[in-house]
Amino acid sequence: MIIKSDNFYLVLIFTSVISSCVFCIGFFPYATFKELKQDENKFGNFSQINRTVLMIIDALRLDFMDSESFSYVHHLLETKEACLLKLFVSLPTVTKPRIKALTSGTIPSFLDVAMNFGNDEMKIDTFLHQLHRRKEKIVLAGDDTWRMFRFFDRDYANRDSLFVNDFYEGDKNVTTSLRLELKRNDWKLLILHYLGLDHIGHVEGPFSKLVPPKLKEMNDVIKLIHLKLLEWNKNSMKKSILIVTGDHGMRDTGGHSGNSFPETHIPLLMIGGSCESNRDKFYKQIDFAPTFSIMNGLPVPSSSIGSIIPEMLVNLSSLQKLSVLEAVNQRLVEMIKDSDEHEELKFLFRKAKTFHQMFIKDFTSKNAYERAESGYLESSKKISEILSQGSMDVNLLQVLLGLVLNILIAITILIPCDFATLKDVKLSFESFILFILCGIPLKFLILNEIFQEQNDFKSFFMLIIMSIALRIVIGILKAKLERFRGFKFFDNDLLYLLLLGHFFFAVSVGSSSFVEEEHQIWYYFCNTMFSLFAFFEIRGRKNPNATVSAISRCIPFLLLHVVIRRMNQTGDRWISLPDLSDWLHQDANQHWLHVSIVISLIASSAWLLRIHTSKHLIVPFVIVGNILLYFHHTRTINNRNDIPITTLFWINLCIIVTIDLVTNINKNPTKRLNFFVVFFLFSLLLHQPQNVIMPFACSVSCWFVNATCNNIIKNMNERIIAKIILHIWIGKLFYFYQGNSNSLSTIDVNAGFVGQMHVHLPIVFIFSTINTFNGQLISLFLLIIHLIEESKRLMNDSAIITRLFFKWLSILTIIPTTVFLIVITLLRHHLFIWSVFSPKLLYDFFASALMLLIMLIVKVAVKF
Amino acid sequence: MQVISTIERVRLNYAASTIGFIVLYTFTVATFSAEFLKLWLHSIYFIVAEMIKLVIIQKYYGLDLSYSQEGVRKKRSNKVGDSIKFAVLMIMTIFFYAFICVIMGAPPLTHVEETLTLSSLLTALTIFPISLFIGVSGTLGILFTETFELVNVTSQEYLKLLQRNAYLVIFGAFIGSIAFPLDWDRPWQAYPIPNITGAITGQMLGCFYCFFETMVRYKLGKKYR
Repeated sequence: MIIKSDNFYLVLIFTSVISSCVFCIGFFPYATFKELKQDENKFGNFSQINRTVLMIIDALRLDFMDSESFSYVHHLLETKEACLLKLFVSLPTVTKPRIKALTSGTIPSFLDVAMNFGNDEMKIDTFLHQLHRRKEKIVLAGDDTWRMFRFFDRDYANRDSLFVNDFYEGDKNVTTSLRLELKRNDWKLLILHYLGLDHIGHVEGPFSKLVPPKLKEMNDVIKLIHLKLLEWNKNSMKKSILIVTGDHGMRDTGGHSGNSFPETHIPLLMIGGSCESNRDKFYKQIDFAPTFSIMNGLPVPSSSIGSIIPEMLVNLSSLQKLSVLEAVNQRLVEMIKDSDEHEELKFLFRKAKTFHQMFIKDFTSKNAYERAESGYLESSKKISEILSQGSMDVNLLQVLLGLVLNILIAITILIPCDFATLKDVKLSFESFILFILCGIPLKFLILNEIFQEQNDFKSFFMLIIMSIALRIVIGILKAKLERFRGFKFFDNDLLYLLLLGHFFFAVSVGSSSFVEEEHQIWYYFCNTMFSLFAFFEIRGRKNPNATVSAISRCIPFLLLHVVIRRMNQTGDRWISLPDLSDWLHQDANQHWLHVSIVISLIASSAWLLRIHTSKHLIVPFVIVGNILLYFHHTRTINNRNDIPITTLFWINLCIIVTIDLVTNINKNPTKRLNFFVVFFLFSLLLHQPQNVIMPFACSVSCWFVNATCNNIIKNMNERIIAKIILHIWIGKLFYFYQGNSNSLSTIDVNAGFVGQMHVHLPIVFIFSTINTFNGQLISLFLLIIHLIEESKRLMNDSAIITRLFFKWLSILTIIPTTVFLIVITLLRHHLFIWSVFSPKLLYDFFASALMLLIMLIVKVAVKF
Repeated sequence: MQVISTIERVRLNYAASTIGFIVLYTFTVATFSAEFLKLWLHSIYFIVAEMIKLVIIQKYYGLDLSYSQEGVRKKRSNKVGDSIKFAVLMIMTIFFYAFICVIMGAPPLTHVEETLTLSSLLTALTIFPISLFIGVSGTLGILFTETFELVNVTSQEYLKLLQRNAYLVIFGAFIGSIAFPLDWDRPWQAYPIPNITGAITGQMLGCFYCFFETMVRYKLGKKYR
């Protein structure tokens, strides 16, 4: 195998992505669940439940329960026919992992957030499995995420249940299925999953005027079920119950998956059985599964680490209750490791057990009962806490392997070398074999001993991959060291400022505040640079007229940034402050939203026509495209899914592409510009209405930076480096301008569904990616265009420009990632590791992978 | 006994008096409450301080202020006109700094008083001493032409000192913003305070640097002489 010296950086970023991947897999392990053999008798069979309706209302926030729309529920709560409990859910607050937690009583891997749409079978034991084993019938209606359970007897799951623009249809289907099932009596568990509320939240936010009617609808469904329950319970010893809960909450801006209070705190409503309300205490979501199993007389799910919600078990006698608590406690105690720090908990358990024995001897001793109960509850709660932390232990070996390789890559990439004489790296097959052969004893004899790893196929596969990657990196490192030359210093102070800024960004990830508020860094640095550049532009003019024209260009440009940085509040601390997009979306200000869309579209089309070289044919189509976009964005402000218009828009885009292919077939390739036009129009389509200005503003910023760099930096190498850094910065800047952040809840899922009737997951994925990383993509596109211009101007420096492009893009991606990996490894016991650092790690990994993809495309398709 | 040259004396004098004023300022702020920072008083304080410094230095050393470019500086024939020009320059500078603050993220509609406080302080520490020293037209010359020099070496040294301090003040105010995103919820993290602190720290560091630089130069000078 030969690696050409031109491809070094590409190969390095590729290996970096691989090693980050290994790091991520190690960092978010699929928890190795400790399954306990269940002795069914241990829990006794106290089942007093006939059948259960489990009604999940997606994204049901705690404060929605206070809404006037839940009038029937309030009535039930007053007459004590229902009771309200509060649950605390763990991260990430996304449907699939939360359903897993709710049903199995354990905390699934954080990485489930990435697999949220996948449909692999649920392997962990749940109360559904338990029911299935008893040949009880389970029926599903609603979200097809539940299809990870493969044993529903009747399955009414909606086909496109994730389609966010559907507020009503899916829910109507669920209710229809519910009416059908209420007439049948053969099922034991009926699962209803209503997604309408979540969709309204994603599109409009929790304070939308569509929310109260939706809650009213849910209230009516609850009423419907409750009336039926009364009918059933009238002549039956065993009760039938309805349980209403959310899977996760909803943050004030509408999304979820983060860790704000409204996202992580949800209500749990139990209707029909006997229970007590508790409005002060928060139980954990994982406590539900064991409690529910016991209510149904089932064994606790085998990997459950939850405690018990005693309020739901009030109809058990004191003795039964204590024996249940003892059994649950017993299995929790068996699950924790033997160590001194846990001795206290075991002591607590034993003490409770003593009181339990006392109570068995003397049933009248109320004191003993109370002390036993509180002792059991306290110890189970504490053990559950420890176990839920323990289930998130990282796989240190993989983490360290990924980290070390990444550091090695970072060092390799930073070594300055004389590029012109760099030799290609020849790697023989034997050397790979040698590396793997050396790796095997190292890993299986030494490392596995130290880290207590298991020897399985996965770790063997990982070993081979890592050995190959290591061999490649070492080969490149050696080649670079052979041609080592000292550091060259830059002439221009500006470049040091830029590098210092990027270095500050790389280091700032050590502080959780700076990770949460990363946008502030880019806002600040980019605007500093813009002001400095504007100052240079104005100062550099010789005659007064030129000065005036420079001022008249720079001031509006700077003011534009002042306005659009306030378009979407993001981050964590100040996200709740009102911003321009809130203001524009108020009913009273709708006309301003229209005005802003019109202005943005006019600016965009003017911009597109200005940069485009072969005008005449494309002009009408660009204008038609923008008019269509106007209709798309204004007619569908509430519901961005207007099929006819988007279809026309696709046709329009196709025509532009066709014109492009026909007219440019023999000419010098100016195609990239036309691709840029198409991409630009496409991203206008995906953006939210208030963000339509962003692609234009991003292009203008890139153009401004490019022009100023041409004026003020004379040395070509330095100019190109400055341009690359600044374009990357602008990409980041606009990434945050459009409302993204390092929290997973700010991803705009709506963009994935624009112009589609049904859910096609790959398309949803591609659309969301293009929308989320729109700033980066546009700025990189423009960077390439600007570098091509540069090479045209300087004629023969194409090779140098290509090398600088790959080199600096890899440096700017890999160095911050490596620093972040080091930080996150050191801080893996930090309080905010799951809420702040983990989402950032996922974003970082995804961004590096995207960068690799872009670099591959550039390598293949672009010639500077 | 080695005699200290005029340049060195000017530099030491400047550094010592600036540090003195900053220490006095710190004590005042510490004695009164943090409320003191919100007032315009501190800009006035630094304006007065700069004036006193200049008076002292001019009185002892009588620095010459001729430009290299335009020959001998015009005589001050029109005092009223000059002061008006001076006032206009100062107000323009204040608004310029306020504009920069807004671009860098200061809320343009709320917090106007804070922004103006910060910008007036920056003016008092940067443009004000320079234009007090060499006049309005000289200041414009520094800002818009790259080759501006005073004929007298000592005056040029002093001007350089003022310029470098101005850079450090602006850099300090820039760096001060680092305190905002941190989630410590301290009262001093409110908007203009970190920037003001940064600006003053910048000036202080400039003076220390000047102090040590002069000492080193003096030592070296003694050795080579």
